[in-house]
Amino acid sequence: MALDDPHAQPSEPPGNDGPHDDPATRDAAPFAGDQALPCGRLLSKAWEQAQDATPTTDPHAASCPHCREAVEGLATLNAATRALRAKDPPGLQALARRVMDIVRAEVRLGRLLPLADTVLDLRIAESAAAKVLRRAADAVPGARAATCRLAPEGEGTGVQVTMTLAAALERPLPDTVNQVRRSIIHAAEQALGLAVTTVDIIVVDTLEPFPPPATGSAAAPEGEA
Amino acid sequence: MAATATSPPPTVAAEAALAVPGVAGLQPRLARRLAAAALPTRPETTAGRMPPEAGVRTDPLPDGSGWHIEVRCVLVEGHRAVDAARNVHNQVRATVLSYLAAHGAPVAVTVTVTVTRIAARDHTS
Amino acid sequence: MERTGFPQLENDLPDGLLAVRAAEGDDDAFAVLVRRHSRGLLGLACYMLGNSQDAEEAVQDAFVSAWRSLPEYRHTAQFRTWIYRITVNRCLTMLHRRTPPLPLDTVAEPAAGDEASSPARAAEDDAEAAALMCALGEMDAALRVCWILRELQDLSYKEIAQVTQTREQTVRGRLFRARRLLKEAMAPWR
Repeated sequence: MALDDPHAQPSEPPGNDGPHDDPATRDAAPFAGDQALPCGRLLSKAWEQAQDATPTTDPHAASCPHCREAVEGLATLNAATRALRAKDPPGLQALARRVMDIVRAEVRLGRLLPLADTVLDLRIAESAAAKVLRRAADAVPGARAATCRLAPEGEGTGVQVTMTLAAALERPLPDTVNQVRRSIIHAAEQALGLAVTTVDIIVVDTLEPFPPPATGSAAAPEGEA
Repeated sequence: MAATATSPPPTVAAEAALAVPGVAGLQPRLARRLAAAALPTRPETTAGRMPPEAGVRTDPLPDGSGWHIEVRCVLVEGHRAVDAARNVHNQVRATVLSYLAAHGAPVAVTVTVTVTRIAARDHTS
Repeated sequence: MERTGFPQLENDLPDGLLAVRAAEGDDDAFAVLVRRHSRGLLGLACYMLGNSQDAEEAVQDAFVSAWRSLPEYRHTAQFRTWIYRITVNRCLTMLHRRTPPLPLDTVAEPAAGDEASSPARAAEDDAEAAALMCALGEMDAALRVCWILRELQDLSYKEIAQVTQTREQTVRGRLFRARRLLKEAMAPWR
């Protein structure tokens, strides 16, 4: 199972063909309507450099009057663009609420697990129990739960837990894993009343700090709506 | 065959369950939710607005001696799930038995409780 | 909005981890993803479709569709790329169904001026923004998508290529054509 690493190259999703760009092919096929400025630079390239707003190490772009003039031609468009960027889309809260109403009505319960009562028929949905146990793992410093599966074990009310985890490397992994295990067992007993017999924990990824440090053109994730 | 012909109305079990501390609400079964979703709804209607008795299912016991009631409930955090479920079981069973006795039909009642979700304390369903 | 139990530690989880949890049925994890991405997606849909009502419907459909297909989502692309792709496709489908196309000047009112120095200036900014929206609406949808994703959403070329399932070179070409068209449309305001 691959967890996202915002810094890694994601593998091409199915259907996305094509090699990565390299400078040699980039200017090979001209864009329709493109033109060379008097200095020889392509209009599209002059615009791209200006719009990408990366600190230009290109001395030509910085000093060439033709390129500068081409870029100034975008000034009005850019001003109007800024106005659009400043607009807050309406209906954010209501949208989020409606989405979650639908999602929660469709919640997938998963299998049912016996609660720790040998006499009465009391069950809990796997998704409900998993949520509590994931939180318990999250409470351990340097650990964040990924998947959490539960299954009946044995003939009675025993339940086995299998969890995958993202863990920070600052602490020795066995310490983190043991603490997560203790946290899960404690929560299973205290919050749920679940008779956990086995807890299997697999560390599948390192825990990245979030939000990830800014990496230039990548947009920062949105905060609270 | 009057005694077992009339099942206890689901509202009896539902109200008993809702009265138990720690129970935030009852969870309708998928079939009922899909049926409700098929109806045209006003934009402000949420998918969760089903009557509480939709979280109760009543079936005759295999030998015809009474009723089996399944209650699907949503709990509030802060209550141990097994304890709340046990209370729901006891409360529902006692209430349904007493209802049936009052209506002249003392029969067997078994109850299954399923905790479908544990919600935060500030959730108003 | 409903939350569950324990302190809100999920807010510091990366998208990938949240997606894995949501795929298992953790609706609270999905709620974080919704909160994180709805502003960007709603902005995209608003400018693609020209009105906020259609935009809300498109984004709502996209999120619900994502929730349903999360168990099959193989995490080969980042969650953001995936949800953007679903939303773009939803918008293109809705545009395709429309007869006749709606003009884009029905988009929501401009926000209260961040730097509004005078009413006259504010009115001029509104007119400029409205002109841009109009020009966007008249542009081919394929160009519009690339322009919105780049200029309003700050997606990288690579990510835009993945969202639109084309090549980066195609994205750059569309961006250039879009900029030319919009620049010409804005000429009266120079």
